[in-house]
Amino acid sequence: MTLPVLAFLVVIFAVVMYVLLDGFDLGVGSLLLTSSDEDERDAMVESIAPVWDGNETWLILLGVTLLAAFPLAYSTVLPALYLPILVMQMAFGFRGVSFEFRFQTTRYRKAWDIAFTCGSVVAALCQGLILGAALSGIPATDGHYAGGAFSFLSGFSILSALATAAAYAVLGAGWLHARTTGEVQRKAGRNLRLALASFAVLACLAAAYMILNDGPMGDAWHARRMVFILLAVGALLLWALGWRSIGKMPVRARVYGMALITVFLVGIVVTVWPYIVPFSITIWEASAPSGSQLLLLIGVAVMLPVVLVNGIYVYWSFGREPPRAVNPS
Amino acid sequence: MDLDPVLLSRIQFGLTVTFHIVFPTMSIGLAMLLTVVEALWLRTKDELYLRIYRFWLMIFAMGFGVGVVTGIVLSFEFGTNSATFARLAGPVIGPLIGLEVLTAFFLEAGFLGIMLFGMNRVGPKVHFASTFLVALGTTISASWILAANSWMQTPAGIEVQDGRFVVTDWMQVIFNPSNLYRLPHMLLAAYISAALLIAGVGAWYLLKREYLDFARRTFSMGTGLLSQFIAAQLFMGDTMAVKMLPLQPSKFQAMEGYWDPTPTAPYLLVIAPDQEAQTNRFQFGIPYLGSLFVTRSLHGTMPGLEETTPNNQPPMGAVFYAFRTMFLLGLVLFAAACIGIFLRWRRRLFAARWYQKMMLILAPAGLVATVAGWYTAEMGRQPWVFYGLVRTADAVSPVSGASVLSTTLLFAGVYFVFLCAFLALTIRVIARGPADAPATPLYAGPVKRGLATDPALVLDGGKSS
Repeated sequence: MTLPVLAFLVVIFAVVMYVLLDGFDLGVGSLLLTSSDEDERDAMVESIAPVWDGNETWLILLGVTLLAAFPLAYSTVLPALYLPILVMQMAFGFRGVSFEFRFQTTRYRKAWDIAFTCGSVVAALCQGLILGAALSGIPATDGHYAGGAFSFLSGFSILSALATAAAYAVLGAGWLHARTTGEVQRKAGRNLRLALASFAVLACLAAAYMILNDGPMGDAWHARRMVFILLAVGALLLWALGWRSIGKMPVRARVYGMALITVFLVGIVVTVWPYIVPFSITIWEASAPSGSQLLLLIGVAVMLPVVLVNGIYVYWSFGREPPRAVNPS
Repeated sequence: MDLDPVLLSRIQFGLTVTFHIVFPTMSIGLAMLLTVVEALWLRTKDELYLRIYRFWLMIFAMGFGVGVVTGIVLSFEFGTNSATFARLAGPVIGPLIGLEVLTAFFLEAGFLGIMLFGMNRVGPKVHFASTFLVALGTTISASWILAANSWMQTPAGIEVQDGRFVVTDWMQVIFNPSNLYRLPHMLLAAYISAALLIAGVGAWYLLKREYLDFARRTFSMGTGLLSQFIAAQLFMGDTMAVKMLPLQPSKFQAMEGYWDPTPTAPYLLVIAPDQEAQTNRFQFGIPYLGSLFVTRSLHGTMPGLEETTPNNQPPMGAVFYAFRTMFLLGLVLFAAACIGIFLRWRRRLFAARWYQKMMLILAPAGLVATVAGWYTAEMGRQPWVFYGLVRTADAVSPVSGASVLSTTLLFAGVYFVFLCAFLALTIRVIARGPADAPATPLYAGPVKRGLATDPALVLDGGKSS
């Protein structure tokens, strides 16, 4: 009975790592065109170029953990979210190749920058749609998805898409604010305020929707009201701390932003628990035979420390000096 | 209009996987070659090796990027398009792919950043270690993927309980009967492909009489490595074919193009198969050679596809021509390698322009043969998705044909853009020449200089920062 819980913890860990890490890449991508200066854009892309690939790998880990440990969830959720998942993949494609291609061309660099931004924004919006659709509940009968091709689309999922894009902008602007200097850093501070403000509005709307909802989301609110109130207080505190640190303590501003997003992820887990396909299949019902979960967990236990040390080393070796200062002030 | 989601999903997977496999093949091979070249540079301190490294690193980086983004698509298509496949096989091949991510992807992704951008930050020794670890990562990655795919070809180590696959022996799942033949076959294919690319670009410069020192070194390396790998590959391929015959008889029957078991069989080159009538309307081949290849005797009996009941047969034409493409290209490459050895012995390798033209034309041959090989393997497995256990038609998702059709068209468009951009930028890198790849390592300066191709940026090195 504990193996599925441990495997679920791996799923949660992968989600949190993915959102915090690739979230800032996608955020930086979304903010790329806020600068019209090519050197500034180069500095923005260069700050994430050495690490984005590793960041995106957490999404693959999430996918295969579901496939290996919760095959029933994988085979129900993915067909349900067919269109946003595949459109997200194409957006990832544009974002990913733009990294390598923009370095090789001067004349078409602007075109690849546009592809980069569109890819990042569309990927963020698709992930928000996926989250919104999942929280609205995915109907399944006998382990098969039982909805339509466009069931993922609803007012709430659109709200969730916008909130996700804003969350990633918080992370992206926080990263740039902490990791760059000069004009890029100053602009990132301004963008961070904008992103924090819009995220606050969108998150409050989503919370209001949840409280007024008479479906399973509303039930979750009524059942675990104290937990949600505590999380909300924490989020408010972190938001205010983040806001105050902008400009003065850039690294802290970034850390508060990351903590804020993490609190929301915890809130999402509290909402869906113990379902892995929200409100139709629990983690125990979706579990693979224990041998499969065990092999995966052994792999995770052995390799995760290596992966983390490796990742920290890469961040450290590129973080010792910030990428080139543009127009140092 | 009635859209068949099974057929459309297969077309979509076929399209995305075909496009994808070209890039990892290149990455596996080039990563190995880059490791060798960087080691040679560190050992000999010959700057030419560093120029070769920097030049091919630019192409490697673009190919790796395309490989990563097209690979993620596949791992999600298992679920979006083939939900039943995922539910059944998730517990068996899911952990293998999970281990791939944990042991290979993170390794590659982490050290790729240092390999591409870190020369000026970590120093040559750590940089070489990064190149080596990226190469190791691509090989480990290939090992897990081949284990998973081979399990689909020759499932072992499981039992079926209540319609679920339960693994009884992981060693049998991983080291399933076909894996240990197919993995070296694929790795050699990648090495051959990369050697051909390097020889082809060297040949191009030799023919244009440009960058001659670079051209001679890479042409010599490329043709030299090719001759060793192709010899190993012919042996490996032959061994594999003999081992696969009893494991997957229907694939083997379709590969050779015969419907009836035939003694003293010609080696067929052209067939016009009629699957309905279970016969070839036309066939042409070289007398005796078929029996000789397959049975090692002039009068041995070739197997025929009729030995498999029609509803379990793979499509004859597709499997036959895919296999012929791969095998005949293999023979052509073997001939090219032999000529290369002869010319080298006569000291005419850099003088024989007709041979350079030949190697230029053969530059993409390794990639074409690899794709044809995968077609042989995957089409030959049909109509099964797990050979002998589950049919492909029973593995799909409950999604509408319209959704699959629209995303397939989108993928085709997007991948077409990627392909054009990749080719255009690669051709530009080649046209600009290795002179632009900086000859001295830079240990300070901004990240972009690690991969910059703008001559002004490269030449001023780290000085301006």
